Amino acid sequence: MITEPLTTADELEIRDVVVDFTRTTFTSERVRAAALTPRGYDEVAWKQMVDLGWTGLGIAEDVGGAGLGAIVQCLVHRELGARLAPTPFLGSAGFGAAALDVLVDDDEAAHGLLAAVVDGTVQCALALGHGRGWPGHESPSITAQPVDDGWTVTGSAALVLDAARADVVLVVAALEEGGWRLFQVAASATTPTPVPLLTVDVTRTYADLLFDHTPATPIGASSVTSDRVSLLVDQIAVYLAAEMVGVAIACTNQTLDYLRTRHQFGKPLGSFQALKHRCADVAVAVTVAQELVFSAATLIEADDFTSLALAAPLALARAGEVMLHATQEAIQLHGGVGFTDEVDIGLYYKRALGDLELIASPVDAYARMDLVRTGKTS
Amino acid sequence: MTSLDHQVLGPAFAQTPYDHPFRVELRAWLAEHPVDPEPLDQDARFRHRRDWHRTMAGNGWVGLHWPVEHGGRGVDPLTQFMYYEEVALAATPEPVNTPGLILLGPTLMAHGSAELKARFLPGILSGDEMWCQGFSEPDSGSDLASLRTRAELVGDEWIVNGQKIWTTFAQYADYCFVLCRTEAGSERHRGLTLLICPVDQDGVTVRPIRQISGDNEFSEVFLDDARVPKDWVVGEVGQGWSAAMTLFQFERGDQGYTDHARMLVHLLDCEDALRVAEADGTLTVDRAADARRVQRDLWVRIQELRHLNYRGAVLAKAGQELGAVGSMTNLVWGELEKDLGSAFADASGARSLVLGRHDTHARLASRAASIYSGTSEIQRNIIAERLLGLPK
Repeated sequence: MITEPLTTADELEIRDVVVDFTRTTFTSERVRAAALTPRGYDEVAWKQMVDLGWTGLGIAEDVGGAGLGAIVQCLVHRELGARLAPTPFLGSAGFGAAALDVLVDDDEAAHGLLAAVVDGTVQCALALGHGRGWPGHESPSITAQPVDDGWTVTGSAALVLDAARADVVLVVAALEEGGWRLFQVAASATTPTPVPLLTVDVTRTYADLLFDHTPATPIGASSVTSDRVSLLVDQIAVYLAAEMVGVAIACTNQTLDYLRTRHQFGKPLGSFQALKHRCADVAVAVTVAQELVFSAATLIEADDFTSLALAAPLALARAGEVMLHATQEAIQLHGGVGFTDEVDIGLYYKRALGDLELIASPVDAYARMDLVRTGKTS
Repeated sequence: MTSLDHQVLGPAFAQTPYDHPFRVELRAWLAEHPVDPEPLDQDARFRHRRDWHRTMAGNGWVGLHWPVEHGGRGVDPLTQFMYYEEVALAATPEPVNTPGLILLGPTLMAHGSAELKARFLPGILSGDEMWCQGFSEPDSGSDLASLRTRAELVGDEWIVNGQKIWTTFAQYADYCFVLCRTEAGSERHRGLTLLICPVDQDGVTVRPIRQISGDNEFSEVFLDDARVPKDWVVGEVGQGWSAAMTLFQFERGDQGYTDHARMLVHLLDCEDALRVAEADGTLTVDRAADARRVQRDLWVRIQELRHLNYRGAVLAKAGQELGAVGSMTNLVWGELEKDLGSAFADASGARSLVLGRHDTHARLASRAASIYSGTSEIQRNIIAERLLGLPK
C-alpha cells in the first residue's frame, strides 16, 4: 500500500520473518483470548518471541543481544502494533532495555539485567520519576533517598506500561542534589504490590505504582543529567511511534479490504469517490508519519542526538495524530459494523487511545518539539 | 549572500549530512555570489531569475543531473536533494527554464537526433534560450490524446495550425515544444509528432491570461501557419505520443522535490511578520496565537514533504520506481503551498490586503498550487485507485 522505509536486504529479510510469525500467531481469536488470561498477555507467544531472540534484536551483542540497532527494533514494534500483540515487549525489551542502555555507562549490574531481559528470565517495566513526557521544570514525582545501608525511592507513577506483571521496576528517580539516577526495585516491594488496571485497551496491561521509602538498588556508578533522561525519552518515543504506525497501517488495510468487498447500490463501497478521497488522505498521512519515525530511528543508529531531540517528538506527535485519525476513519468507513465488537477495528481504536497517553500526547510532544526548535530546552 | 544555517532544515538525514563536501563546495560558491531578493513585478522577476540562472550556469551549477557529455555533472538524486536545499538556504531566485531543463532536455537526450541535441541542449543549460511547453488545448486538458493542433509538411517546413493553452511563460520563451497531429484523419495517440517551434515568428501569437494574483504567467498560444524546419522533430514523425510519455516521466513530483527548503525559508519570513504584527498591535492576542499554531503545523507539514522528497531521492538513486511517493508528493505539496501562502498573509492581518506586498501576492498566487499539474482531487483518485487498489 505505502512506501517501505526499510532498505537493506537484511532488514527486509527480518521483516518477512517477523510478519510471518506475527500474522500466524496473533490472530484475532488469540489476541482476544489472551486478554482473559490471568497475566493478561499471550505467554506462549511471548516465550516463543524470547526463544527466537526478538528481545535482543536491538540490544548490543556484548550483553547477549543481536546488536541490529534501532531500525530493526522499530520494525518489530511496528509489526507487533499491527497485530495488537498482547505481550510485554514494548515495556520490557523496548522501554526497560533502553533505560539500561541510555542511562548507564558500562556497568556490570546493568549488563546482567539486560542479559536477563534478552533471555526472558526478567521482565521489567520503566517508571519515569519526572512524570510523563520529557523532564521539565515540574517537581519530580519520584525521588531517591540515601539510607544507612543503601537507597529508598518515594513517589508514584500512574498507568505504567507492563508493570502489573513485571519482575523488576526500573525507576528513574530524582536525587536531592539534582540530577537523576536509575534504580532497580523488586516489583513485589512496591506498596501495595501492583495490580493490573482495567483499561479500554484489553490488549495491554497497566498498573499504578506507589513507592513509599521502598528499598531500591542503584544501577550505574553515578547520576545523570536531565538531558540524558530526555535522550531516553527520545528513544522510547521513537519505539512507541513505530508501534503507532503499525496500528495505523493495519487498521487502514483492513478498512481497504472491507471497501473493496462490501457492495451497496450494486457496486463496491470503495468505488465511491467520497470514500476514496478519505482513504487517500489517510494513506498519505500514514506514509509520511512512517517516514518521520524511521528517519528518527536512523538518527538513533547514527548517534546524532542533536537531530534526534527534534526528530523524536516530531515523530511521536505526528504518528500519534495519524494513528488516531486512521483508527477513527476506520470505524466510520466500516459503517455500523465498525462500531461493533464483532470486528477488530474497535480494538485498534482503543489501542490508539492507550498509546496516546503512554509517553506524551501530540500536544505535549509538539510543545517539546517547539522548545527544542527554539533552543529553550534548558 | 551568506546561507542560512542548516538548522533551518530540521533534523539531518543519514545520506545527506550537513557537512557533506558537496554542500560545503556549493555554499562556498554561493557566499561569493550574492544575489538580490526577488522583485514583485512579474517581468522584472522573470529577468531576475533568468539572469541568476545564467550566472549559475556559467559556473556549472545548473542541470547537475544532466550527463557530463551534455554539460551536466551526472550527479545522483541525493546530490540533487542537497542542491535544492542549499540554493534555498541562500535565498536564491527560483529556477527558471524548467520546461527545457527538466522536461525537453532529457527527452531530447533520449529521442533527439545528434543535430538537435547539439543545437539545443547548450542553450537550455546556459539559459540563453528559454522554453515553454505546448501540450494542453482548450478542449484537451486531462484528455491530452484528443488534441487537434495539426501540422503539414510543405517542402522543407512544417506548417502548424491550432491553439494551445496554459502555456507557462510563453511570452518569455524562444521555443515551444508542440505536440500536434501530423497524420490527417488520425485519432487519439496515433499520428502525433513532437515539434520544436520558434515562438518569435508571424505565425505565433501569444496572449497572456490574467490571473487572480494580477500576474499573467500562462498564455494562450495561437498557431496560424506557424513554420517549423523539417528536421526539428523530437523522435520520429508519428511517434509523438511516445516522446510525450518519456517527457512526462521526468515531470512527476519535481515541483515538490525542489521546494521543501524554499518553504522552510519562507516560513521564517512568516514567523518574522507575525512577531512584528504582534509587537505593533496589528493582530489581536487571539489571532496571533492562532497564527502561531498554524505556523507550527506548517513546519511539521513541510518536514513531512521533506521526508517524502528524501524517500523519493533514495528510491530514485537505487533505480526503483517512485510509485507511491511521486503521486503523494504532488498532493502534499499543492495543499501545503496554498496554506503557506495564506499563513504569510494572515501573519500581517489587514495589511496583506494592500497591493504591492509580497504577502498579498503570495496568498493569491498560491491558490493555483492544488490545481495545476493535476488537481488535488485527481491526485486523490490516483492514490486511491493505483496505490490502494480501490475500484474505479
